[in-house]
Amino acid sequence: MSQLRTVKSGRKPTSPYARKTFAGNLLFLLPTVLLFAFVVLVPFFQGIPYSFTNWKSIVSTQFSFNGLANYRYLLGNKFFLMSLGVTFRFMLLYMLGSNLMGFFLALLLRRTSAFNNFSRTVFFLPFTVSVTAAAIVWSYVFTDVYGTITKLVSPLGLESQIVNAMVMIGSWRDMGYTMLIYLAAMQTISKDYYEAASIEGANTFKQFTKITLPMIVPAFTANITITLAWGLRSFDLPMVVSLTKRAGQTTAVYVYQSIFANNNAGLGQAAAIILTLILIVLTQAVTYTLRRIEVEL
Amino acid sequence: MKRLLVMVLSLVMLLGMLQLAQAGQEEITIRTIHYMVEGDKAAGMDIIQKLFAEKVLAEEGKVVKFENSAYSQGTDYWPQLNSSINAQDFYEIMMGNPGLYTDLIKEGYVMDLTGNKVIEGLGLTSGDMGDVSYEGKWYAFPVDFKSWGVFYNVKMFKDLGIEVPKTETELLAACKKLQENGISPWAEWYADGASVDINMRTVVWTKALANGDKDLFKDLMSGEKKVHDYPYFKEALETWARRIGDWARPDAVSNKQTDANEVFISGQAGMLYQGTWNIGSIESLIEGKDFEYGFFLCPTDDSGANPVLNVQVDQAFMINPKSKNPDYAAKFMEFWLTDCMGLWSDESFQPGITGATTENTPPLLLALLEAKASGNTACYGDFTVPFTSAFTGAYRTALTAFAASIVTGEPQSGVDSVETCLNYMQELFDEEISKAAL
Repeated sequence: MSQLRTVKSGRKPTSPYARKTFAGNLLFLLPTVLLFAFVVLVPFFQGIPYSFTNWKSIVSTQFSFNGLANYRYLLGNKFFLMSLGVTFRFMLLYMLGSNLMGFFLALLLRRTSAFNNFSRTVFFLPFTVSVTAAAIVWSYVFTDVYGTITKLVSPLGLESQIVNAMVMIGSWRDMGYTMLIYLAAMQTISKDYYEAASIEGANTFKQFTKITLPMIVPAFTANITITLAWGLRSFDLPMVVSLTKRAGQTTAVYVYQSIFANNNAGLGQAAAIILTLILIVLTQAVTYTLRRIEVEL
Repeated sequence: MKRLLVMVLSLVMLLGMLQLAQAGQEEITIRTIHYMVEGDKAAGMDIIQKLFAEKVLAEEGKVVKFENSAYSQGTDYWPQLNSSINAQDFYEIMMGNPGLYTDLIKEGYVMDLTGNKVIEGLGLTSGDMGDVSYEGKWYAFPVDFKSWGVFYNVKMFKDLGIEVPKTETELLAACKKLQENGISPWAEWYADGASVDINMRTVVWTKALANGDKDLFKDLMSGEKKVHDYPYFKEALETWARRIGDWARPDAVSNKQTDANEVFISGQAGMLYQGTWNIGSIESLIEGKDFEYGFFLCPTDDSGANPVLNVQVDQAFMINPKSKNPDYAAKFMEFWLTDCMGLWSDESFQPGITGATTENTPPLLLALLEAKASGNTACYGDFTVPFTSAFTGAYRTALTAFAASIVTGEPQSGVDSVETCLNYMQELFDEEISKAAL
């Protein structure tokens, strides 16, 4: 606990024991940090200079510095801003969908029984399927099942509904993951709290709002942060279902299309950096807010 | 124990001798990257590769090995190819029409084949050669060509007394008759960009080339001309809209090529507007079934004249001179073009660029070859430059919105008519032009 306080306060460990523990922790973290730096941080920083160039094809060695032209273009470009709008809408609805479904599934399946164990496995299965495969399966469901029954056009074929359809696919796939995190959090709550609350006359709803919810806030923090990041950088799903429809193209697809398909590598790099900055700021803001809520509760 | 030891040692010696025997032969590896994800084409290439390996072994005593990597053209082919080149991991053979890979050419990753005796000996048309050229030089071996038109259900047409349409009015009458009999006229697949594109080409290419507008794509990409400057786009959209009519299926906007094939083969629709690259897929789907299909070029007016065959080189292969074995890769392509074209057509269901056939060549391929030989064609290669992938993407995005707006009756990206589609198309083109100017 004292160790936790030391780290949280940001002060350097003072006692020899604390210093030793701190060094040990750093040592354990080192391989992961090095790997992360090698495959994420270094390429990211290496890529920044290219965003200030007119680099076209990635095989081309000819490019020149064009200052902030790429950034100015993107921030005033209708289609890039539209892709940001699609990204935010998708991220928000997907975050809500996957978390709400995962949370309710966790509530339903929190008690251990053979049936519940089996159900947990079944609901987790979609998460083991690749997003591409899930999108293909759902496009059949929307066209051959939903379309045949209702005689209506698949939502994947309509610009007004394509983001909602993508949210449905993404939430369906990832609800099993959020369910597991919520389940794990719920199972760490001591039964003593519920027994004491029952003795005090608290009903199920009261127990839920006063014990379950506050105790699993860290799980909310984890799930919301992860689904927020996944939602913001969503790529494979729109790539499969919305390649020729701007209404469903996220910023990650815009980046990919710019760099690879359209030979605008410098511009695509600038778009990638804008997206990364948004991701960092938003993730930090959400995590900070949720941590504060955790402390307050 | 001794016996066991002897046996193990003998085995080791045997393996060692085998290795030595193999080491005596020079080994040549030819790596190919392509987007022939259809099984029949990849299988056809495998057979030709085996024949080539046998030939080299017999004539030169060298072992040729092939390593093939297939990626989807619409999504990951281009990134995979670019990434491998960036990593200096070179494929000997790269599939693609050079006009779309000009950066690779400029950086020296594509062999200049100008004056290649084998290509020269094929006696190809200017259109065919245009598809494998860039700035007047040859950069790829053309293998076969593609076109598009209407596949129809022969039995259904016969039962309903529908003749193969010669005019647009007859085509629309056929659509109406099919609809009246509870059958969807078309199996559509507007979720694939290729579908919306080929629905336009019959009018755009044919009319533009007939009017000498060979710079059409070049001028649109440079911004010198706008889509409104060419009447062909408006006419093509209007003609296509009449074909879509009010009988489109709800799955038209979400179906991809393979879905539409199934709708057509299962008898839910009487016709399928498709590319000839799909013949092999249809053939494999109808294997063992009582299904007969026919093919006709889509009439787009009421003149009754023979429709013009659109032609574009389909399978074309470039050689990377910086790879390990470019000479053997070129030899392989020459072998393919000279000794194996009939075999290729039969295996892949693709009409060979040389017109070579065998006794097994399917009648539809023979008809396509005959139509091409007649010269009543409009070849993509006769345009000065093709659309780049960025412009192709923009073009298809506008066309997809147009198709979806007609099928659903709802505006898509502000597109709800021919005029708004042209405006949206131009807006997307302008975006590409402004990006290129950065």
